[in-house]
Amino acid sequence: MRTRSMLAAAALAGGAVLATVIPAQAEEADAGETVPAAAVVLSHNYRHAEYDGSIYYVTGSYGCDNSTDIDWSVGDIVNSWNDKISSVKSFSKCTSMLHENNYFRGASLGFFKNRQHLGDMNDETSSIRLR
Amino acid sequence: MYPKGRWAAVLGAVAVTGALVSCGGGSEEKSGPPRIGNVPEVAGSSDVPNLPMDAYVLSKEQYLTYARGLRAAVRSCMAKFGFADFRALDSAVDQSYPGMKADKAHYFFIIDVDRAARFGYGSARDGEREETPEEGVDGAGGETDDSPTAAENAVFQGKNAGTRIGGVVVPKGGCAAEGAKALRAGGGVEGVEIVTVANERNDAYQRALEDDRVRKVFAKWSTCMKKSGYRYATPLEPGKDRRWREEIPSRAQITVAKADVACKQRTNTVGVWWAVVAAYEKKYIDEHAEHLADVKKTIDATMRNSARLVARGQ
Repeated sequence: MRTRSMLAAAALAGGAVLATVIPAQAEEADAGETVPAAAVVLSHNYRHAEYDGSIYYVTGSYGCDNSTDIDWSVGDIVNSWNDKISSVKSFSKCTSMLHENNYFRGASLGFFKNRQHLGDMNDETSSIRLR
Repeated sequence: MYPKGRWAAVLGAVAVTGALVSCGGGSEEKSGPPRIGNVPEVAGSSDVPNLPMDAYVLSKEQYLTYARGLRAAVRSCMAKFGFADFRALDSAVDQSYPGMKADKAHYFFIIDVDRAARFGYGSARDGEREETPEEGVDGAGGETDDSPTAAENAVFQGKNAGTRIGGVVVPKGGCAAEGAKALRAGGGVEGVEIVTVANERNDAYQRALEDDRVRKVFAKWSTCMKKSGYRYATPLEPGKDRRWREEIPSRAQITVAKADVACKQRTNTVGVWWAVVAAYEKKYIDEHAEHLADVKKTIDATMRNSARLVARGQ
């Protein structure tokens, strides 16, 4: 089995004016080393249903593959977007799973490519996994 | 499977955030809400002008050009280390990707009578599937697993930087960094990330929602809706109304959605809202002029280089 790169990679929005994220590997190898400046978009997470309003972009160094292993994850969504996501579009061959609590705990919805509204998971997401 | 130990806290980038916010100079709290410029008359999405930050984020075409260029540059680098069939970036060239410019039919919620009449508060169904479809992705298809092997990933991410493989030294940051370098050559700026810059506009959007001018026009819209028999304090509320989460929109939903659009037109809600968002975005641009000039230079360089790299078939 191939070792999957499990990186938490997300670009933040809302109150945080944020551009890059340090992945787990970089933290382990050399604290403070920055991510190479190239990213691909894995998902758009919309503030409102029906893909309305502003967007929380999740990015990674590459997209998802054909396996069912988790490829990317955001363990703890930034505060300004916590419990704010209401619709999702996934890209780069990814599908998304949304979790009610951080670190993938609690109720969940997914995996899906796109969802125009999230039912009981509306405004509940605190962490995300993609595959 | 998870990396040993640790989750990358997204907040690792807060240091970058802090630097970006502070380099604008001057306190935002002291300067007050920004002045607005011309207020467009908006009767539908085709009347919505581009927003200032649209100049600094990638359109669909630009993103695909970038993704193709990145793939070509990285593949060229990986091939030097014996990984001629590195496919991890194939999925990045995703034809379904809409780009990052504000979607005028959605950024200010429902504003088109056609959408209201057809879908109520919904929108065109667009593939709510449970698993990954592969259509629309360049080079996708088949049963191959294109995720990087551990050996490929080490070179791609530069985990073994400094190591010599086949006589070639793995560069710092690996081929991912080399790819980025190739894309920004001849004018781009190191460290500037042209994809994630799109998130920098969300603060302006949020501030606009809290601005008195937007609150006032929302109140006018609400008064208009009340005259039609519907009680919603702001245009953000109908979309949250559980009654309208219908698989097929009912006549009632369509009627409300059409009234919503009519009230937006009557009060020019979206024109005012747009003008306030634009003012906050312009303020942000003015306060981060150097950074955003670097973004523009890097986008321009990336577009030039991507076309060249792909044409060479690298």
